[in-house]
Amino acid sequence: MTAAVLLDTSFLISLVDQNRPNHETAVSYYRLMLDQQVPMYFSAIVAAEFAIKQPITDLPLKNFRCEPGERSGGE
Amino acid sequence: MEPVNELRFSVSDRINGTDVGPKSVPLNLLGDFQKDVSEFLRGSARDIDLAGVLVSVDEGSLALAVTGLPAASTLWVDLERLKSPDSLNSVDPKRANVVERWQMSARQSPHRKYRVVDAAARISLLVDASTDFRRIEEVWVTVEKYVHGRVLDWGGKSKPNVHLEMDDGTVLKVSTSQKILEGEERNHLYRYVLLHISAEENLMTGVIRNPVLLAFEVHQPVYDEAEFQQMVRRGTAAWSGVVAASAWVEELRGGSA
Repeated sequence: MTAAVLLDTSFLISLVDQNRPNHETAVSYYRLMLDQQVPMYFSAIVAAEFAIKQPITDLPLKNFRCEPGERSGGE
Repeated sequence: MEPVNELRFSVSDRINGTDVGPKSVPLNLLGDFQKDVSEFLRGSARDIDLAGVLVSVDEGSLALAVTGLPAASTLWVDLERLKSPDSLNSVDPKRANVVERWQMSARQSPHRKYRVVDAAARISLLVDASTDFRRIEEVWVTVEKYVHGRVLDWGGKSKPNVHLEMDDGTVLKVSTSQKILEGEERNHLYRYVLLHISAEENLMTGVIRNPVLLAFEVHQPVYDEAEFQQMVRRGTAAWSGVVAASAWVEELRGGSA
């Protein structure tokens, strides 16, 4: 395990919407990263943007990691 | 910037109505300046062997022309950084100390100026009463992170911790509790793991300090065809109203779609 990727919102949209021109490409990368055990991250901002149109829980969240942001105080 | 192998260090001042030069220089200034130049050249890394460096004293102000400097030295990196007055945090601490000393001396003696230049004038460091080289207070923020690596050691009686070898070969010592380690059913020793940690991160450098283990994360992603098809079915319906994904995201972030 030597690498990880940070996913942007437009990648997630292309991944979940089969009508997107880059859907197949996104799926290929997704499968490859799963096969290669490459950790896939997305930021809290990306999660919030995606959630505008679709619940983030529609994604197989066990396959992703949400990159936590900064904290201004305690939890 | 291509490194050069020659530098001219000079100090100019007017003392009792006389310009400082090779023929007229207070002994303490000569001694301090020679010491400062040596310290500036070597830095903390001491990657310049002063025995291999030649120095000549030039006319004009008191100037030391230094030749035979190696190209592979942090000296050149620091000189490039010193083009910014906010750079003292990011240069070698010994060089930063020299610049601070020069600046303090110049403020006490308004005619005093220190210069470091090369023949091609690609490097031109000036320190005088008007310069404002300073250290910026380091900002550390509390963050949570996921870190990958291989567990080299874990446990401890009074200060339990996990030694995690990162992908770049560095070892991160993560504080933890006996309770967290006791609760782990798998033996992670010498295995790759994903750790959820809290830590303090330097906003300027990205350096992490005081990492504390929050949890060992289960990270075994797997492709599930039924799950994937359901996600695509829902996603295709959800995003049908968005014509171009990138433009939609761009507009959302305040750019022009």
